[in-house]
Amino acid sequence: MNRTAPKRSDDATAALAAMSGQTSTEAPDSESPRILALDPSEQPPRCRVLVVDDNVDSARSMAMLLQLEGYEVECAFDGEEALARAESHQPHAVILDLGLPLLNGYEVARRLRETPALSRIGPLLLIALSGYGRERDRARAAEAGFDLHLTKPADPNEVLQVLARHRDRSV
Amino acid sequence: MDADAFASLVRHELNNPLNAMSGWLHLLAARSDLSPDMTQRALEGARRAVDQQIEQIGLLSRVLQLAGSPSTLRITLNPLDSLAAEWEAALRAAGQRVNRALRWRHAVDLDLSATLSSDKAALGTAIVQLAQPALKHAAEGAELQVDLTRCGDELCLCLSIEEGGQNASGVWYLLDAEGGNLTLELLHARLVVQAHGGRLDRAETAQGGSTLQIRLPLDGNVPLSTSALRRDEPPR
Repeated sequence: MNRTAPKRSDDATAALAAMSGQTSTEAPDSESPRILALDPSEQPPRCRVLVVDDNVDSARSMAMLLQLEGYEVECAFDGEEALARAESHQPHAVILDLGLPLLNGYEVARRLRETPALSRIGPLLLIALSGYGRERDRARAAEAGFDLHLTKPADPNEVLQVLARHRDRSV
Repeated sequence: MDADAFASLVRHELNNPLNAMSGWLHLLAARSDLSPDMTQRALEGARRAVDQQIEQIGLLSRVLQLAGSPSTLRITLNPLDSLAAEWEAALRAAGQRVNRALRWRHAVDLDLSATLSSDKAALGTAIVQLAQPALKHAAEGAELQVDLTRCGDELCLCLSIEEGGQNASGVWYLLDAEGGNLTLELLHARLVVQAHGGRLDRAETAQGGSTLQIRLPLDGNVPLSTSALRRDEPPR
């Protein structure tokens, strides 16, 4: 089957540039300080993240960390469940393992990129988080539509930084 | 499997539990706002990840042994009836652990007094390992069917699952090294089968099901016959 290369979000391109040490072409964020005290009725929508990993502890620990950081998190443990959860949770970002049962992470990424409903809420950030880290794995991930490829064991702070950038730009 | 693919597989398999350990430890070390319940979950999770790592290192050790010298297997002449009884019991136990029903059938005139040269323990472990993708990941309620037949000079243990899942390209695609999905557990099982002179054939059915045939060469003088399956046996 012929597939066109999935489109990446601009935010993710910036994230990629930042991760690789390149300079983003976008202007830096405004220097104005953040307003921390908000009226509860004016709370901004929370950033939704879907964490997909067949290693339940990898998924759960990441989910707990992100929840403590204020993200709205759902987990899935195989490729089919990932697609179903994505439909119901409408995530702004997906952290996706590659070696998944039933449907591998590459195929899940392709299908997520082909789901118009997911791009309506804003750019979808797709992060591959995998024990596979060869150049060919990275190339295959990029071809499948991933914005970023992180190799396990992941640095949780790195994941938080990437997500925070995406949240600040798109939610 | 070439050296590069093997190194990649090992890295993947060892980094998975390490990633879980790292995640839980980060929570324990960096977050002061964990509730007692969260702390307990993190500690239990880290413990599980350590156990997984121990298991993976054990598997890696056995894989390296097998790849380096298949003669490390203890091959003896085993009667087919005792092997079949052990395989059935092991598969049923594995199925029960994940609430998966199993239907075992063998050809009505299969000569169970025949013998198979095999490492009984290693082959039994490999068969259960090979069943795991179906036991764990097939659609809920789908039954694992196991057929024991003779195909020419080979004994064929066929594992079938009728419903792999809505989008599944077959639960045993995990055996595909090129797909980047092979696990150390499945590689170990494949090496054990190969060390017995056997092979694995997988196929998908038109109905979305999936089969894996474990083919093992029979001892030369075994008078087995191909026959219809005993299809009237109800699931146990």
